[in-house]
Amino acid sequence: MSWNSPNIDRPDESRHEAEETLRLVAELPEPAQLTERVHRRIADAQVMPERRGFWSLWLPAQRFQFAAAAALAIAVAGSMWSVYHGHPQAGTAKQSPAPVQSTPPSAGHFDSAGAVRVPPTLKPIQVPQGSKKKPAASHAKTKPSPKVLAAQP
Amino acid sequence: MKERQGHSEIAAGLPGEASSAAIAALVDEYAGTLYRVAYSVLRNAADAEDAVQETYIRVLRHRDSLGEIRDARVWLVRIVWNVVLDRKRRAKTRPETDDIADLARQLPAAGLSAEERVAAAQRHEQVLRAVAQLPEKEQRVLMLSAFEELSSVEIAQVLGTTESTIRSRLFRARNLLSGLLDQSKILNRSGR
Repeated sequence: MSWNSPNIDRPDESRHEAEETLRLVAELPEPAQLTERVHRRIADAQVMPERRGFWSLWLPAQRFQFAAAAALAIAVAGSMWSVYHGHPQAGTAKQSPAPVQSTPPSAGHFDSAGAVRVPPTLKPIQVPQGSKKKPAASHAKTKPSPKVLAAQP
Repeated sequence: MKERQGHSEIAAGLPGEASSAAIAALVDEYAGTLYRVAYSVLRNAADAEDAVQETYIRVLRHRDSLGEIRDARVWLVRIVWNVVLDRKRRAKTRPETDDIADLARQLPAAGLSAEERVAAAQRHEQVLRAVAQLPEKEQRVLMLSAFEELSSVEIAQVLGTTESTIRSRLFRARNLLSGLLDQSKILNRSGR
């Protein structure tokens, strides 16, 4: 496209200079062997997927990893399900009915709401009485009380 | 025009491996044009070449849809233009003033004396600085219009707009540019 299109005003010196400069920029020669380098780059880009194909042995491994992870997740979920659903059944077999308080709650007062204290043990725990040791005399001497210290001159 | 139709035929209906041959033909035919378009914006040989290579890599990725391309040349210029603008946006940290001075010195000045070469380089630098001051849209249209290979219709296709918009932008860009150049000349004369 030249500068002398119908839309343009009278061409002056500045315009000619600008036209010349831009034309020279547009006509700068390309570097030597540009096409060869582009061909080579395209060839490399075409070869790359094949190289990746050679290294695609990692794919089955990844599949195995995925399968192993899925199996692990299923095992964990299954065990959790069995624990969750198995626990109440075992509990219900030995569960004794809760004692019901016969007396009705008196109105306007706090009460125990029917709760009955069940002691944790039937027999009280017998704690054997150990012999009390007196502190050694040497130990008592080692650390005098502040009063004693204050009384000393 | 015959050439363009030929490439449309090459690109038409090419599934599979045949598209590789079509891409190779596109490289042989348009790598130079794409390089010049890239260089006009990036002003760096290595960056421009990278942009051209990236363009063809993108073409390679979309080789299955090569048959749908009507005008391969405009399509390629559009791709390289987008690649170049992406790169330009990413590399905004580099000062443009150095690029302009380098580019002005690189422009051919065959048959000129040493003094004339210096003067020509200064003139080119002045023009390129004025172009850099233009609004972005006008600047882009002006740069693409300098390529003899691209008509205003094709520039419109590259920039994704209408031909009338391109023409009005081009008109505005040229007026602004000549105004800036006249202004800088007046400033230079008064400075002397």
